[in-house]
Amino acid sequence: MNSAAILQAINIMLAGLKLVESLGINYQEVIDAQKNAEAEGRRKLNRAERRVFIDQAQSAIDKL
Amino acid sequence: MNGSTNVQVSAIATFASVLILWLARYFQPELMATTPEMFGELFTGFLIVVLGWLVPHDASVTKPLGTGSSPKSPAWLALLALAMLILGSCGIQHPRVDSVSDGIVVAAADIETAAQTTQQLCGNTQPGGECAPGATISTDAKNRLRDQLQTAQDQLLLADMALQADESVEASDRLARAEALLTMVQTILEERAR
Repeated sequence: MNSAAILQAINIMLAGLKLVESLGINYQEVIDAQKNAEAEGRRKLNRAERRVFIDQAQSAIDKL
Repeated sequence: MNGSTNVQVSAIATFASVLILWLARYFQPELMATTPEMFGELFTGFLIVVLGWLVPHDASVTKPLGTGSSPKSPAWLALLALAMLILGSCGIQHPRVDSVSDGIVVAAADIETAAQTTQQLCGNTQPGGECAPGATISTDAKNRLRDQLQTAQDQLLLADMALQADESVEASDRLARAEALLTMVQTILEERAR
């Protein structure tokens, strides 16, 4: 394999790792928010809490 | 190390890294939640360097999956990457989704993940910039994925507004549209990451 193929293979693996890692981190934030809401006696997240996640998603799209 | 050994050692290190991080997240979730965002990449790089130092030149690991002339084919790398994704996904705890409100938040987290993965595959350094030379996806593909994610995001915003206005049917409908678009993007990304 030439160096370009090696780099691409490593890039793909790192992207896979990033996918798994990002998913874990982003889901953990949601789980934490849900736990905080439950601790306050609420079953659902309020609009301000939802907007935090929506804004984070928009910020990630804007970087593309 | 020669070329083939380089690739194999990098792949083995990446695979080992994901396995170790997965086990660490499973047994020490609170500790792992404090790690910085690029910790996985840092750890993988560290393992590659250590293994590269330990493994001798021309190490005899040229046929890891019994696939004959596989060192010239990236097929076994794709298998390793797929195994890595499956193993890693097993270690992730999924948030509770029993309301439209939860659905909106989880979909937003999924959009964020998809956007981050797209950026990783593209390697663009500036917003709206071109993908890095040799990137896994082209600039056009990145732009198409960005547009689809933006459309999903717009539906999510409408779902949030509808929920706030107590229009739960409209909110569910908008959320379903966002999720359908997101599923399409995720399928494309998973195919690219294999």
